[in-house]
Amino acid sequence: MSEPSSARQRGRAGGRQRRQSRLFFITAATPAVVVVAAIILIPLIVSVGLSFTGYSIDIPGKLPWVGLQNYRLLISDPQIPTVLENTLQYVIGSVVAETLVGTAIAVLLASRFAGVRPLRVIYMLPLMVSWVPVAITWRALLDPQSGWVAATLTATGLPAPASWLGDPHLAMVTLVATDMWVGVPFIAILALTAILSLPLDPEEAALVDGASRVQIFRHITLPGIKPVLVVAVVFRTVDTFRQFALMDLMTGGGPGTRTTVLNYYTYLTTFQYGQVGYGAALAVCMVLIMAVVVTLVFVFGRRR
Amino acid sequence: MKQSLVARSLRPSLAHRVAVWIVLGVGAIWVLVPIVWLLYTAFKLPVDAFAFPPKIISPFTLGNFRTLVDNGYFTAVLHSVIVTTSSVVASLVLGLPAGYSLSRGSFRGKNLIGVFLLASYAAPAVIFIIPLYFIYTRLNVLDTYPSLVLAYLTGLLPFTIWLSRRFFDGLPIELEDAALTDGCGRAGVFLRIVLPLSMPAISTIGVLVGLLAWGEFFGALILTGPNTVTAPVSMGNFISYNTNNWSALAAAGVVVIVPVLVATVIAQRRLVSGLTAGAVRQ
Repeated sequence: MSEPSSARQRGRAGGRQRRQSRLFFITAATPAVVVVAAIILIPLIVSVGLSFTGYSIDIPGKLPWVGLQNYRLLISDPQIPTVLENTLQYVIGSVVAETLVGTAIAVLLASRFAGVRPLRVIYMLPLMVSWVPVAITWRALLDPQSGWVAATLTATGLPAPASWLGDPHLAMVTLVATDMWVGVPFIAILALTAILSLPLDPEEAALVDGASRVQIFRHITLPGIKPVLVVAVVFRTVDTFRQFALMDLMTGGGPGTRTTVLNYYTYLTTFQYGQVGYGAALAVCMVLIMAVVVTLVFVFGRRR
Repeated sequence: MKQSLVARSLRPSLAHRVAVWIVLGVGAIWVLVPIVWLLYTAFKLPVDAFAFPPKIISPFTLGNFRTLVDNGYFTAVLHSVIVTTSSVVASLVLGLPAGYSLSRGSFRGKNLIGVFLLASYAAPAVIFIIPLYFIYTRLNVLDTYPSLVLAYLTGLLPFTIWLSRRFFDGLPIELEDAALTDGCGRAGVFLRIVLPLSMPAISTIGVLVGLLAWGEFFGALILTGPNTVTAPVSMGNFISYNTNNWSALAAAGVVVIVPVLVATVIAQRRLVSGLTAGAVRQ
């Protein structure tokens, strides 16, 4: 075989290979694309469609078209301002507290002296516990009669509130504190892994130059872990915004409507009061809000 | 662990170390108390678990688990096992090839697909569950496994594709190129080289997806009935009707949590690296 023909052959083989690869990529991706389109796009379209109807669970035979009426109701609904305020309190309260405490714990867990490493495993445990057992356990621990928290407070002579979840001043804070049991370790473990993957030299150089721990954190550690921290914050924001189990199993949205957040209000409207059309409109709004918030977090997170 | 001479000479003072130990210790207690409560209360007599003030010493009993058997809780656990296994298998079978194509293939709209997948994962479940409830009612498929697994996939499949794509992006491409030049087709490269090499990452993704499916509550609450009710839903029902039986509830929690904790302790390193691989290269 002569030289040029072999080269040409290789070229042709490469072309065939590329075509063959392309065919494989398309074949391999198609099933997932079809399923994703079916289970995500179709429900999305149906949701938007339902939000223009007065569909109700109680009258399943009828699909009355009501145009923008559900969206108009959304603006005039007297519950909405309270629900939005509750949502803001829950999401911002949880995410801010979890980020601050979680990062602080990560910095401490990254300490390189004896007795710290075994603790890292302990802080991983809550990540594996799902929300239903979390809700049940904390409800039991906070039980005003038989709960361990009340018993500990009484035993140490500290005042214990008559009820954590029934008191309108305490219910929201209590839910946030419960959310933190999972959220703080989540942020801490992600941030810890990021800190441990940072090079040691800049920190040591700064230490030799007499920089304080605060300065090292502010100028070396924090910028280094920021990309991971931003993603962790997005995960927590998304998760707190759609938190359901804690409201459903600990407070039922109460006392009154004190802990009824947007996600829970959408659930109540749709499945307890049966107003599917209005519920769908609320759900569409939730998606829009989430889209804006996540974009904002990424945009601000990228800066500096 | 890297520890240079400089770091050792700048060892933190005793006071500093004690302060760190105290703060982390208090945090660790806060983390451990609920888990200890579950493990402890599950084996207590119901009367003692509900006593005021709480009784610390109580005879060891397995009676709470018998209560769970009588209430059909283990049927719900079995449903959970079926739904979780199916969800993990479906997510991996559909998601891994798609993730690989997104990572190695070059076609228009690749980044847009990535954003779409992330958005689908981040969207509140209620936007899918309301229409699925409507559609399933019409098709008369509420309370069946396939319809429930499809509902779970709305969150799990985008998550799997996105995570596996991030992972495949980090695999060295040279090996695949070599195999391609040797006449191994793209499908052969994927099945015989990429998949075996990625087993650790695939098992990590599988465990993460399994954790999410195992704990799923909202979708299951709406879309299941007596034939498919899952453990979290069953537990939720139990607390609504039986608030005072803390020890039976704790036993129900133990049944759900202990397998997961055991799996975690075994796989802990991989889990963290899997989570951060997804987080670092977003």
